[in-house]
Amino acid sequence: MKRNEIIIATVIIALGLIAPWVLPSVWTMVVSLFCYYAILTIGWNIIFGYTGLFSYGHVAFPAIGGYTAALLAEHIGLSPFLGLLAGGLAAGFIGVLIGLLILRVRGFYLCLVTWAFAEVVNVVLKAEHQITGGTGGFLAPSFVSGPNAELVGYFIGLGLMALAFVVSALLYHSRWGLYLFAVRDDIDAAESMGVKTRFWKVFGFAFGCAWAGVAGAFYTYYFNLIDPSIGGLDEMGKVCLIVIIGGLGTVYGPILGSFFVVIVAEFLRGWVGGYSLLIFATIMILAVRFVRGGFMEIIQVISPHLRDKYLILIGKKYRASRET
Amino acid sequence: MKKPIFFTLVILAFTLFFLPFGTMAADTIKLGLVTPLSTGDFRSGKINVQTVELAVEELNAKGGILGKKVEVVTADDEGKPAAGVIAIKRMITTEKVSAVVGLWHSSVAVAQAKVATQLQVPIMLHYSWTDDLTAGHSDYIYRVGPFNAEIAQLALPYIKQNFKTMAILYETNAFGTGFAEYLEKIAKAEGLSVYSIGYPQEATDLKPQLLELKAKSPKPELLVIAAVYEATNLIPKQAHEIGLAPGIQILCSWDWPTYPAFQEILGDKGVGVTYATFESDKLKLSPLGEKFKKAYKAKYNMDPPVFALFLYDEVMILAETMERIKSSDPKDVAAGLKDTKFEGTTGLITFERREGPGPIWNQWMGHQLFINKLTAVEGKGYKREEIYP
Amino acid sequence: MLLELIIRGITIGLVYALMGVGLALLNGVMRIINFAHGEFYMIGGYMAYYSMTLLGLPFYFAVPAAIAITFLLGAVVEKLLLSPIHTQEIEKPMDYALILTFALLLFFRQLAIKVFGPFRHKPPDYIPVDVHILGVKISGNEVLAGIVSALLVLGLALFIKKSWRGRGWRAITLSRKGAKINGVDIGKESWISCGVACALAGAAGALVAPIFTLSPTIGGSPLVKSYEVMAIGGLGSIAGALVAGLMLGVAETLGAFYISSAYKDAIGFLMMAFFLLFRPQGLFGQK
Repeated sequence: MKRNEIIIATVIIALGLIAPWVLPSVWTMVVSLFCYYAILTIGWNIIFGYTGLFSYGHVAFPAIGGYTAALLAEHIGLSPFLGLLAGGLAAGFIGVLIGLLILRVRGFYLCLVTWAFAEVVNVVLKAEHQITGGTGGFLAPSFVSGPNAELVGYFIGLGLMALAFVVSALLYHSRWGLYLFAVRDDIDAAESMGVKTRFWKVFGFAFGCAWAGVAGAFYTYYFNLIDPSIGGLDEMGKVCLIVIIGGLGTVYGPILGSFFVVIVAEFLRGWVGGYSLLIFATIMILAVRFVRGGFMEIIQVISPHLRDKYLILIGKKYRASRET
Repeated sequence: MKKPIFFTLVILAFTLFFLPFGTMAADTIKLGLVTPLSTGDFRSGKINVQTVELAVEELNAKGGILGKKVEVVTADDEGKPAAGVIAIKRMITTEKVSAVVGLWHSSVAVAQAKVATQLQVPIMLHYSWTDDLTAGHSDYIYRVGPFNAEIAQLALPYIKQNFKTMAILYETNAFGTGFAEYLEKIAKAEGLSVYSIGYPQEATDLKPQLLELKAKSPKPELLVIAAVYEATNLIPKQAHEIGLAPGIQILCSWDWPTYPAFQEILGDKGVGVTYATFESDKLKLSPLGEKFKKAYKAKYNMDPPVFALFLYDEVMILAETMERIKSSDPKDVAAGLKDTKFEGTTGLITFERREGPGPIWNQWMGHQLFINKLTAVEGKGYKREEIYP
Repeated sequence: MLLELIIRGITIGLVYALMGVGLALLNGVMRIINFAHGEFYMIGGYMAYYSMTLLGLPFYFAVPAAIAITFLLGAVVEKLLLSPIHTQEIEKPMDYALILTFALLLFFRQLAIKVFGPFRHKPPDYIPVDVHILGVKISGNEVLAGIVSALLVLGLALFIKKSWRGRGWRAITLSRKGAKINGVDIGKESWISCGVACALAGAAGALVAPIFTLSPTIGGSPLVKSYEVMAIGGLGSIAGALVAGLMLGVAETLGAFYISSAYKDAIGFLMMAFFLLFRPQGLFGQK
């Protein structure tokens, strides 16, 4: 890990730790939702940003993780902390299976196959309503019972997010990360250099999915409920939006993007009620069309000097120099 | 410290600085309205907003509550539990509302009810039917509207009287599943034969399901449609298209045949359709109900559906309770609601608490079920006739 | 019963084909994922509705009017928002189009809720008589939708096969660079083909409006179906899309009846995944 990343991680955790005492209590909930999206998109960033597999079915995995966690808690009384692990493992396991299947396809085809998978999961969740509760959702316990449940959940979310961030940063700088980048950038060259591309593809996919499963289990325990809307097409659009706005294939991208999308959406909801999604969509269209580089472009407008700093910060230069 | 990090810190600090720290309560009494406005069942959400606006206008015209102006804070729950929970929490902690009304989707309401109970602010449910909601026996959850088990029980005598075989087509959401399962159970216990088929709530092509019913033997005499979502008006229409209807009695739950869209979509095929509701021409609406109905029709150019009556009642009950206990503190209001005796739009509303497990807790039990039949097209709607009781 | 199911499957399948063909065209020429495709279907339906109820047009003018409006809208969207893709201004056209069309989906849907209102609408029946085909009762609307869909798909196939413009599109599909060298104006062809693709979606929406009725959220399911059709028929293949649409319609109706109606929507996805994984060239493609 680079020094920058250590400092940033520390700062985020420090801010997160004081937040519940400084901010109105509704914001701890918003930040928890932010943590959910951050973990989820860190997973997708590993799949698409690092490994180059355009998975459009990522939101199926929080659903798998969440329902696994909720069902285990309901039927065998598994503790929520083990439930997080179980959710991650279940999603990771399915991720391995799907990862093996999609070795056959690339690019656009891969996108459609994974999307089909996500929709099938969604159909199954709705159809098997005797088991899953259908669209009405399935209740789950919180992390701890008692009046502090929410605060404890918040800290767990924060911790998980920090963990996911650290793991993805470590992966980024490790030898394993290099294998993943090699698969993404030039699969034939990687193959000829002796990289086991098939293995790394499946690994990248399943690893990202496992994080998504953890995110889903966290969501379930935090909100005490999971329903199929978590795996909808609009959620997948949100995941793409977050990562691409924040910076695809960078360590900070998912965090910055989630921060922007979740917090901005929340401000809008507070101010304009039923018009929030309309305004959000308009901002999105204008931002993507006219400020194409997302954050980077905005920063560039303010100061070119800052832009260089930002590039270094998100590791683009670093990566670029390493690639050449 | 390096500059980029400094820069990030500045951004973070700025963002935190601009977070709203709650508007200080002015001389108003705030009511929260959390309801689906952009996704989910936004149609009903719109009616909820209209109803509450109308009710609050009326209250303010009479001088408000306790001499203070009443203000509605509206939020969109997007039909998603996470968004709904955050919305209700904002209502309670930041906006400091005295009570929250308008909760809709059962999955969202279950999560929201938990928050409200924890933060000790009363919520009133007007049309979320899941038994679970009041089965938790929270002191902060009141329900003027009906619940699944109650409705199935009320509808059964009519069905038993007239039919031997029935089919239930239901949405697989909390409302549809809960209602269908309960109705199937009690109908089978009475010796009826029941076919029940579920379908996802977003479906618009229900012909395969209807064909399945058409092929059943013995043929179902009654088709109960337990739906509030996309397919409501489509099922009777498609039943006609595949030739299942006429020849089968269609019983819509609930009063969406009174919406203007129903006539536009079904035309004269809508004649003969029956629907269950809590309001009928024979049931004398109280003067309050008549007044509301007239005002609603004048303002929005349609008859209010029955849940609008319940929602209106809720706002008025809250106003009356606050006047009675001379306080708008949420905790006091929650305690005060228990002793409600309010002449509502459809009857005298009191909240019943039955000890022991079950959903009857802070629940109004005075609903009367009516079955109405559409008899002829009349302008933009239908003539209707009460056939039960 | 089997016969009835098949006939009903075919009528819905033709509409699926019409949706899928538009998407196949767009995908061939622009090479993007368009999530707003279903929204043009919704807009087409509403346009037909309003031209019939507000302007009092008969259906044989209302449907073309809806097609013309969605064509213009599609062209404007391409000109204003999607044109950076072929002017090479951006690094990752696929990501760009993905986010942009997703935003458009949200935008159109939310705008429709505010503008058209949340309640369902239905235009007057186009052909208010029922037709009996082999003893199966089918509404005149469905027959009309099926026939017009088939004609539009065949017309488009012919256009692409025979006309100069169609050849240009095929050239772009094969190789963007090659087409450019040979004098195809990619900017112009892009907006025209985008307009045509959207117009096809609008046509489908307008045709089935009296069958499935209108609401701001009806765009979701056609979007999904058109991707399924496109994947089964082979990306960019018009004939494939036609047969795939029919196949999908029949398979869904039969599957829902004989297997499980709750799993109806899964059938299309499973077919799509199967074809992409094991026969990526589609129904008629060659390896």
